[in-house]
Amino acid sequence: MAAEREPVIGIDLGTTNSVVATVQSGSPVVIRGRSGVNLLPSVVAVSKIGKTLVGQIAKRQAITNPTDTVYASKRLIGRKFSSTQVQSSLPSLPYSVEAGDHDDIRVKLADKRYSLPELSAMVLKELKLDAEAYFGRSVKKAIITVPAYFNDGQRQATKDAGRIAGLEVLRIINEPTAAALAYGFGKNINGKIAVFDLGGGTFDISVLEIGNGVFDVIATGGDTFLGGEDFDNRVINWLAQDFEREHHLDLRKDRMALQRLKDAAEKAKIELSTTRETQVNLPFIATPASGGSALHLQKALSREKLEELAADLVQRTIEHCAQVLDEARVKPIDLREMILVGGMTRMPAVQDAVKQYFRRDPSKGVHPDEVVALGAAVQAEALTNEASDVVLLDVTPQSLGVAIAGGYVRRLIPKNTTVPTAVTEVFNTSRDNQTTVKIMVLQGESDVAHENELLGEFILTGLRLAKRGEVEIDVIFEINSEGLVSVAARDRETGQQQSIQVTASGGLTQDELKQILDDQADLLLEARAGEEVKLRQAELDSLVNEVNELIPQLQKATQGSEFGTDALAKARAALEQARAARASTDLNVVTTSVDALTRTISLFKGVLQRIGR
Amino acid sequence: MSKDRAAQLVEAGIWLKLSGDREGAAKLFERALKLDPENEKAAELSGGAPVPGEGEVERASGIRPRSNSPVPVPGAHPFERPVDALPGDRDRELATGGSGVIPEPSLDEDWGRMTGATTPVPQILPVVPSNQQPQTVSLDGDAVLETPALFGEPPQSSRSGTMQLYPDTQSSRSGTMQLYPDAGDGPPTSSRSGTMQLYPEPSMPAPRTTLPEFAAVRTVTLGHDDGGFESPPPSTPPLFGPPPASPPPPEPQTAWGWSPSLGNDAEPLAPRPSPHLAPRAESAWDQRSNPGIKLESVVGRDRALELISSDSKITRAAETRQDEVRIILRGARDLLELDDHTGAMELINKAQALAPDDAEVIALKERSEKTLLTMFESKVGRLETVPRVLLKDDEIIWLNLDHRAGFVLAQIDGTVTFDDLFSVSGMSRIDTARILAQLIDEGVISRG
Repeated sequence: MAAEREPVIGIDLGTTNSVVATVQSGSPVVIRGRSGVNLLPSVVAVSKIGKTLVGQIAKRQAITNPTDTVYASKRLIGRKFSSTQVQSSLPSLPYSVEAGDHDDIRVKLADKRYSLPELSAMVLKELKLDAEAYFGRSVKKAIITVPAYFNDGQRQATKDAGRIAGLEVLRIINEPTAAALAYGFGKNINGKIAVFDLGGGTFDISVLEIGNGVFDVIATGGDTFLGGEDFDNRVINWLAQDFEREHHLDLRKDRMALQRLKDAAEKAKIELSTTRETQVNLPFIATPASGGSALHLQKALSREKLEELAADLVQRTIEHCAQVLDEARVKPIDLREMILVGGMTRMPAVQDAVKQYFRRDPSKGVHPDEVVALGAAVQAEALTNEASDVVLLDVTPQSLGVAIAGGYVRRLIPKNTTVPTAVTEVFNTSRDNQTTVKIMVLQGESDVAHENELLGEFILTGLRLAKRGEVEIDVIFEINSEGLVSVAARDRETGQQQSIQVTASGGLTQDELKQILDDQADLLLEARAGEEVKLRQAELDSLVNEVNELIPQLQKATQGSEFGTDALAKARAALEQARAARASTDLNVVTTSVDALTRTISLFKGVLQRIGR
Repeated sequence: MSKDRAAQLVEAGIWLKLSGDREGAAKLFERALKLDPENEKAAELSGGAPVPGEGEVERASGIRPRSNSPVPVPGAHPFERPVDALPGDRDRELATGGSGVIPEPSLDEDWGRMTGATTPVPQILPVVPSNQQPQTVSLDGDAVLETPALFGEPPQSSRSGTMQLYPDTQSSRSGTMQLYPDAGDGPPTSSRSGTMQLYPEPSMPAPRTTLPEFAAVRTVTLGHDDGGFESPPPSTPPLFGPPPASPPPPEPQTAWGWSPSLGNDAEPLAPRPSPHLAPRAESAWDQRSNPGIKLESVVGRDRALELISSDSKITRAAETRQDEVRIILRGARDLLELDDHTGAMELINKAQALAPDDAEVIALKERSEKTLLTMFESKVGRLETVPRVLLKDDEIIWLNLDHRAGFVLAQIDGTVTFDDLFSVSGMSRIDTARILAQLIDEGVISRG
């Protein structure tokens, strides 16, 4: 009998929600969480009572405990603390973000500082546990999706998160690619398609070209601060303003009230995708500051009102679409398919706007919340199943090049180039008598150097004195199968050479990563030991009860004999020991007490049996 | 001894009643009566007579007196309890699953924190003779505070314990304390003046819980000299006439100079509240609550320390405050003996407000909280259980809940466990446990 194949999962690690899927009997399926829902909110928190919370439960206390709740960490992962994106995000983040030792990002939760990969790992670990509950066995291999615009550092940080969660990340793939894979599963799609992804916190629009099984993201764009939460906020404001008019009380200033408003707004928004009107009922929402009765909020919200409140948000998505299609030099009419991704695309107004702009009905039949995870699962299956006829190649996610005179970029390896690969190009000096040249290795799609990610730099010295353009320098880029990028510069005349090896860094050094993994292992051992202690303590409780029940019987049976007195004294000593052991967390202490009580019970039963009771 | 003990119990009972816990107060009065059947005050108060200043406190704090309507009124305060409940009933009910009414949760003023407003807290105001009229005084020139009534007419002669401010060194009256505007070596040549006088306790009944030995009264005389000061605010008419033109100079060794932090700036010397009138002042010399008196500015640090250690009425007032804390703690212990942990907690909180760093208060609070938490959690049951709402939506709105209980109730959706609720409530464990126990007791949610 052939050994059962090791399970492998696909994970959509989203900004707002995450999903895990797998392929079962040839079909991709979403793995339902242990709590019974498919979506796990990508939220991590340390509660006010010091408990680490992940997922729905963390989301539910996000507003009442904002400083110790981390959401949308995906916007920060793999970025440098000093980067513009991070610095501009900081004012809007209620949790504390600090700089790490290497300009990486650390988040302070309670009294501990966490790296972003550690926080993402908590979400991944929950998904892993869901998958393990589904399979009934350990799950170690996964494919994780990331936005198409993620650079090597962000991808590496996501990989690190997977590793901390105890997963071997087989590959990181682009979300639109995964969506297209899921949509195209079992179909033969060729041509250009668009993936319109309006999630909880971000909006991405991507144009892909699919040909002969190759998925090429030819343009991507969007807004990392536009998503379902903005729609919720419109509803929250509408409800709160109306309440304030009536009661002169701003519910948004009370965290408990705001948390309830947010939950209710999201629920109402979801309901309005299928109904024309919904009721918002929030009894006892607030107590006036001057005292008196608690107030209720009761209000009807219609679909038309919601659409009116969020009309500009929908319009913004269309503007981004126009921009990206323009960059890709694609007209809406050129697109063969339009795939909707993200829960917000269920909103009829969004679907109508997309239909109007792209002049075609969006594709139906794929679940917008689950399509990315399903695509990841399809790819995971293809990677691990030898019987699969799908061939997957590792490609460079973004272009690689060097900075050239004038502040521009010369691309040597375009994005989506299959690795391993190597490219050599000849460059010349740009000034007379130039004796040194600085090689700046950049990653990104912008033609302007400073808009790309600087991966590393080095200087080649000892060039001969000559007029500009006379000295020729070979610049060699190599990417090996592990994704390591080597860049070398060689003076053609002298043969003098300098080189650099660029390893994508997610912010954590190898030592830090190792330390985290070691700590995790220790924690796991502690947790296991703690479970063992709990089991033994429960056993101890049961034995104590049993001894307490036997003592009166023994007293009666032995009638105060010397033997009986001695046995009872021993039993009482064992009970005393058990009381102390019950408060201990030392497994040995608890086990010793369990053994002592077991012997006592055995003795009592033996005596009672012998004297015929 | 039993008489003293009874008197102490009456004191603690007054505290409790003023803070709104009539039931706890009634228990203490009854106990006092048992110890000393002749204690008229205990007899009177246990019979339901109002505590002096009770109505004032409620009016001043804006707190509605607890009603005990057996019929839940929509929006009324949650979990009210009857006045005539027996000692320990509330806690026992919660612990044993009785179906009695439930006490009001004494939770943090979260709403106040969010809105910037503060939830009114009963403030114990000093009682003054009935012929005194309220006076408005200005604190540091930017706040106006209604103080309890001062004497309408100045006494003909200063009685014992007088703190006086004179316009210059030539016009000192007889008195034990004098506050000078300058902290220089010698008394200034001129100043505005105010008089702070400490009068013996008036004969009418006063809540000894606030000022057991004396009532603090301050009168202010505003000088009109050439010191460059402006006229006093019209809301603070001088209560004394101008001081004599040439009073004898004060003894430099014993004089208390006061430079009222205004220094030499042109701000008018506004009347300042007596240290005893400053709400929540930890001691008469607490600079945070009584910024007008700075010991260092009087005669220097060393001198100030000397003065503190001297046997003045002020230092005795601080000692009295400690006595108050002790009395309250004894009351709390009495309630704990009667299994009224909720009432005891209220008293302990009062004591903590007076003495936040008192180790005994902290220890007692920790112990009581632990006991209460155990009781509430035992009421809740197994924490891994998922509670369910037992009432329909249209029944829920007729409950008598506050917004905190409403929040906890809203989280119960059939997916979260009791343990989860402790995490998502955003409140302390004991407050959450109290609300859950109360919701169970009211039959609103299922037990674990």
